[in-house]
Order: sequence, then C-alpha cells, then structure tokens
Amino acid sequence: MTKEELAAYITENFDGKLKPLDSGRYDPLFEVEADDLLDVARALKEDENLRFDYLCNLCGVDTKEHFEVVYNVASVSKNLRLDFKLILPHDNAEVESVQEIWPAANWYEREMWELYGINVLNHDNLTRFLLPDDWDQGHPLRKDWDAPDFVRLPEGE
Amino acid sequence: MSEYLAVLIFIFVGTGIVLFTFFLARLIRPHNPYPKKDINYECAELPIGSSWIQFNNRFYIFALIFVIFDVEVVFLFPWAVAFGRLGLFALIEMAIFILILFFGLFYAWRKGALKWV
Amino acid sequence: MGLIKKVPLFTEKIPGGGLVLTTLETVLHQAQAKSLWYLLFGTACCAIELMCTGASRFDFDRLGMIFRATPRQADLIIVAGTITKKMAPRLRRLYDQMAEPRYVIAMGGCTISGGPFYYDSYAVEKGIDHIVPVDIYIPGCPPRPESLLEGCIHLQEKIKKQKLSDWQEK
Repeated sequence: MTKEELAAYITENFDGKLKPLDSGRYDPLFEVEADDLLDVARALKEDENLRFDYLCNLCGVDTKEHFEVVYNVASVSKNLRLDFKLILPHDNAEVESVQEIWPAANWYEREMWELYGINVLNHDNLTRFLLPDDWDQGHPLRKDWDAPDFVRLPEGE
Repeated sequence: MSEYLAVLIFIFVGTGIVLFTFFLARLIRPHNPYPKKDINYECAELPIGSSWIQFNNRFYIFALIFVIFDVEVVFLFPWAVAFGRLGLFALIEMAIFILILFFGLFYAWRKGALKWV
Repeated sequence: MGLIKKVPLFTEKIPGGGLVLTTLETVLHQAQAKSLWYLLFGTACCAIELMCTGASRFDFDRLGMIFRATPRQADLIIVAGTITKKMAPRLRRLYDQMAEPRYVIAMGGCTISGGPFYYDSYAVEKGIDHIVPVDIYIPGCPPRPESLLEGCIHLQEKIKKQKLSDWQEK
C-alpha cells in the first residue's frame, strides 16, 4: 500500500476514531481520543491488511497548551508505517497503557511518566529508572519545570 | 664447608635486597587510608556481597597432580646431583621410574584432567 | 608509612641537607611524571579522542602513559566525556579508590563546565570540579589528540614542580 492508500484505508475502516492530520511528507498522522486508544490499537494490530505489530516509538510532547502522546507504529510484514497521537490536558493527564498490545510500550511509558508526569493506567511497574536514584525534583521535560541549577538558553540565541 | 658458607651469604644477600626494596617503597609512598578508599572495587558501584569467592572443586585435581609430580622431582634431585658417580645402571633405573610415572601422567591427560576449564 | 614526611625536617638540620632533598625530589618526580598510568574512563565523544590518542599515530605510550582498567593501579584519571548527575557519584568513588599521588585531567568542554549541555539540560553535571579536584583542564569539543598530549605534558611539568610534602596530603 502506498501512503495515500493507507490513509484512505484507515479513514474508511476506523469510522472516525482516527482523525487524519496533516503530515506533510512524513508518514500518515492521525489523532485519536484517549477513550478509543485501546480499541484502535488492537484493531491496528489485528487487522488483516495492516498488521501493525511493531511499536517504533511512544513518547510524550509538552507544547505549552497541552500534552501529547505520540505513537509511531510499523508493520513489518506489510512494510507500512503510521503515526498517531493523543492530546491530553495539562492537569491530570492520564493515558491507558498499550503494553498488552505492544509489549515494547512498557519502558516507553515508564520513561514518559518519569519525564513528563503523564500517568499511565494499568502499567505494572511505573518507577523511576532514567533519572538519578535520589531524584526529587519533579518531571524534568515539562515546559514549566525549573531547578536551582537548570539554566535555560537565553531568548534570542 | 666454605661452599656452604657461600650459599648462606647468597641467601642473606638475596633476601636482604628484596626486603630493602620493600622498605624503600614503604618509606617513600604516601599512606592515607580512609574508608571510601578501602571499599572493594566494583566498577564504581557500591559492592554487593563479599568479594571472597570459593575455589571451584576442579582445581583440586591440579593440586593432586602437582603433589605427585613434585614428589617425583624430589626423587630426581639427589640422582641428578650424584649422576657423575653412578653408572649406567642408575640411568636405566631412573628412566624406568620416570616411565612408570609418565604412564600416570598419560592416564590423567587422556582422562581430561589437564583441561583447565 | 610516609616516613618521607619527616625527611625534610631531618635533612634541613645537617649542612648540605637541602641538596639531598632536592635530588630525592627530582628523582621521584621524574619517575612519577614519566610513567603516569591513567584510568580508562571515557563516557562520551571525548573517549573516542582518548582512544585515538592512545593508538599509534598520537601515542600515549611514548609519554609512558599506559591505560589501566582499575583505579587501584592508576595514578591519573582522564575524565573524557559528559558526566551526568547519575554518573557523578561513581566518578567520585573511582577517584576515592585511586592511590595517592593521584591526578585528574578534565578533558573536553563537558567536564569543564557542562559544555554544550550547560543550557537546557536537566541531567548533566555542569563541570566536574565540584566532584573531584582537577589538575589540568583541556578545552575542546572534543579536544584534538595534540591538545590532549599537550595537556598531559603540562601535567608532567606540574608534577615536577611539586614539593615532597604535597604528595602526602593528596
């Protein structure tokens, strides 16, 4: 399938759960609601023509208005790639864990929780592992995070 | 008697030189132990468990073979020293002795006792 | 034992004693400076330059410097690479496990002040001089092997200028 065929297939088969976004020259990008996440993920993995069985990346994004959780999935057998994301508000950001569908999500979600503070439900081991053992200064990759020895690049450089 | 005196002096001078170098090193080097320096080296992590491990049993075989052949060498020494005064008979007798012990070594070799791992 | 600490007191009393001391110092410093064994400690890109300097084109061995894998046998630690907050206690522990006299070379921008990670980084330790006492700073990102060799030669000069009593406290 080419990218356009893939985008068309997704739009007609996922009855509105995946909303297409402009992806420019990159892989097709869709937006999904937080409630539909598990259904969509399972369907993407089990669909006969898609078989997205490889989670390439799962990361958080902090734009100043909201959090995003971005998923990059690929199909090894069909040679397809797809990106989709969730938009979450800043307070009480929560997302379901997709580790039953893609086991690789386990550590990605742990990293996302550790650095952004986005809570992951049904995760079996949400503990700190990248930051130092005695870290008590919050979630560093948030845009409003600060620490005594954290120096921001001055504006205009 | 004077030959043995030479040996005694040799032993003292040899030991003395070694002890002198140890003493000199001890004199010169700084001595500054503190607890953080004395912990076991575990690639910069705090050590888990003791660093004393138990020797594996397979090394016992080597110790055993060593003892046997060491005793053989002990028997060889007086024969070697007095070799000039003994005749052909002693040579053949010692050759038979070594041959018998060589069969033992060959057995150990074929049984795989000499493999280190 | 460090009885050598008492030697200056002894030799200064006898006439010509100072000469003994300086000769002794010269010998010891020559021996030390010409055989600095460094601990292999490379975390990031500067480690590649360190390896390159140790290899055949820019040789460390001609300065007498051989790498050792354990701090017990090393008297120099060349900190090559970015040190993060998670790595900092390990670096301090390695420095503590080295035997005196011991020296530290801070190689590259990251060890001097955080380097390119001074801005906008939550995890990088901004300079190692608040973790271990540094003798020589070598700027560069990464420093060329010639810079690193020059830094080591400066360290040799520094060692030759030390007094006998300095060793004992280090």
